[in-house]
Amino acid sequence: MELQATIWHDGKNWVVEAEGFKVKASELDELDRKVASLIKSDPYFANKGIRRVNMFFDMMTIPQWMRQYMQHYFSRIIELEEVK
Amino acid sequence: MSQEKKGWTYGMLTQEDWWAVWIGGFFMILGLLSVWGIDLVGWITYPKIWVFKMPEGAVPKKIVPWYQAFYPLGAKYSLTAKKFWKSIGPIGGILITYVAFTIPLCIGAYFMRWNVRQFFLGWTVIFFLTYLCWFIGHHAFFAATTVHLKKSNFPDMFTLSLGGGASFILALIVGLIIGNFFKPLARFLSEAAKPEWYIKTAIVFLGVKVGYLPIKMATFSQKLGHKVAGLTFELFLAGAVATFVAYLIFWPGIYTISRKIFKLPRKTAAVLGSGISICGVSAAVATGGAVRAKPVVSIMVSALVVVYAVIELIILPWFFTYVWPGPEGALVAGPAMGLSVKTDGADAAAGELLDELMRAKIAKDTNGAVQWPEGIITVSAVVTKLWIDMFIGLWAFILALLWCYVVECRPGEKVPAIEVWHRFPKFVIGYFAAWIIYLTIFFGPGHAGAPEGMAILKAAKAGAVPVEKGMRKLFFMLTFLSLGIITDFKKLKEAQFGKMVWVYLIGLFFFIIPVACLISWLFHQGMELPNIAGMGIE
Repeated sequence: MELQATIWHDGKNWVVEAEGFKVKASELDELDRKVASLIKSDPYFANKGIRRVNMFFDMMTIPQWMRQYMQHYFSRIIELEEVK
Repeated sequence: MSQEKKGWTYGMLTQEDWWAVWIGGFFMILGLLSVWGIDLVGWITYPKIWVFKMPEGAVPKKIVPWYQAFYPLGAKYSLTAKKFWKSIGPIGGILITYVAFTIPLCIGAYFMRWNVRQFFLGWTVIFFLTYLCWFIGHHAFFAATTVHLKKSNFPDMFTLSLGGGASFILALIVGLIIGNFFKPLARFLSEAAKPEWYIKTAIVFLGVKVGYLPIKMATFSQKLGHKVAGLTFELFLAGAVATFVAYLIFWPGIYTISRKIFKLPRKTAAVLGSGISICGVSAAVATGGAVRAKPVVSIMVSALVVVYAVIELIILPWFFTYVWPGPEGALVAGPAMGLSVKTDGADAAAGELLDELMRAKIAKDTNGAVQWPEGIITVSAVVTKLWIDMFIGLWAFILALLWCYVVECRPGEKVPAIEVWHRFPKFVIGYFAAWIIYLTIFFGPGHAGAPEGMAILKAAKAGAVPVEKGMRKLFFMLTFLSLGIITDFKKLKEAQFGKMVWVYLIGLFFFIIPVACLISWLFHQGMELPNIAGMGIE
C-alpha cells in the first residue's frame, strides 16, 4: 500500500507530513530513514502494510514570484524496504 | 498542506500555464467564429502612429491626428460588423477591451488562489498604464519610419524610426522606474505584475499568428502564402535542432566553468548551469528539484536570472540590429535571441523588439524598397525558446535519474516518470493547437490560397487579426511593463551571491551568447524573409 505525503523545506530542514506524522531532517537520507523507521514501528501504519511513500513537494516553499516560471519542484517515491 | 496525488490533470485549474491555454484558447475560439460570420473580437483596440497636428497636404493614412490614435480592429478588418465596431470609438473600444480581459484574468487569479481584490486593482493600473505607454510610444517622432512618412504624404522629417518598438521600450522603462524607484507602488502592483502569465498567453496568440501568416499572404498571392507556410515550418525544425545542439554544449560548458574555475559545489553548479544555459528560472527550479537541492539554491539563481534577462533584453535587440548580424541576418538573430535570453517573457519581448527594429531598419536602409511581414522574426525567436521549454522536463528527468542512481544514490528512492509531464510547459499546447487549427483552415477549406478557398480565408482573417495583432501585442506590452515592475537591480548589489554573479556574467556574455550566435548561424543561415513592398500588405 502507498502513503501520500507532502514534503517541503523550512529553510533549515526537509519536512515530511502525512496523516498523523511530521518528520524533519536536514538531509534527505536522514529524512528517509526517519520516515521508514516511524512507519515500520508505528502499529497504525504497520497494520496498513505501507510499502511505499509518495512525497509531493509543496510549492508554497517557493516564493510566489517564482512560481509563475515553473510550477513543479519535485516528487519522490520511497520504497520502505530498501531504505537503509 | 495539499496531499492530493499529482496525476496528469494536476494544476489544470491552479497553474498559470494552463490558464494561459484557457484564456488564449477562449479568445482564439471567439476569433474563429468569424469563419461563420460571427465577429466577437473586433473590440480589441489598437494604436496608430500619430502627431498632434497634421502638416499641410498630409493624408491620415499611416500617420493620423492624435484623436484617432486608437481604433477597434473590427472597424477595419471585420466583414460583418465593421460599422458597429467603428461606432464604439477608441474610448469605448479600450473600455470593452479592459472588461473583456479583466473578467477572465480575475477568474484565473481566483482559481490560482491569488488575492483577487489586489490583482484586480493592480491589473487595472497596469492595463491603463500599458495603454498610455502604447499611445506615447506611437508618436511619429518615435515610431514613424520612411514608409509611414511616405504613405501619409508627410514631408521628410527626422524620426527615431523605431516602429512599434518604441512602445515596448517605453513600457519597459516605465516598469523599471516603478520597480526601482517607487517600490511601494511596485509592491502594490506585484500581484498583477505577472510577465510569465502574460507572455504565455501572448505565445498562444502567437500560435494564431504563425498559422494565420500563410492565410494573410495568400489573400495577396497564393505563391507567397506557400512560401511563408514553408518558412515557418523550416524555422520550427531548425529551431529544434539548434536547441538540441545548444543543450549539449551550453550545460556542460557552464557546469564545467562553475566547477573548475569558480569551484562551486556540485548542486549549485548544476542549478546555475541550467539557469544560465537552458531556460532561466524554470530550468533553475526544475534542476534544483531534480538534483534534490535545497530550494534556496534555485531561489538565488532565479533572482540572478530575472535581472540578467532584462539586461539582455535591453542590449541584444540593438546589438543584433545595428552591430551583428544586422537585417541581412534577421533570421539568424531571432533564434540566437531565443537561445541567449533566459525566461520566456524576456525572450519573446526581445524577439518582438528585434522584429520591430529590424523591419524599421531594412525599410529605412532601402528607402522602403524592402519591407518584411511583421511577426516572423518574433516567431523565430520564440520557437527556439519553446523547444528549450519542452526539453526542460526531459532534461530535468535525465538529471534526476543521474543524481538519484549515480551521483547521490539513496537506497529506496525512485524517480516517477510523470515528472516529465509535470515540468512540461502546458501553454505550448495552446500555441501548437492555434497554429495547427489555422494551418488546417489554410490547407483544408482554404484550398491553400486557391481562388475557391478565398472566401473562407478572408472570413478567417477577419477573426484572426484582432487576436494575433491586437491581443498579442497588448499582452506583449503588458509583459514589458510587468517585467520592469518586478526587476529590482538592487537585488544584484544587496544579495551576497558572490561568485554566482561572476559565473553568470562571464558564462553569459563570453560563452552562451557567442555560441548561440554560432549555432543559430549554422542552422539558419540562408533563410530569407519575403519582401512584401508594394503589395499592399500591412
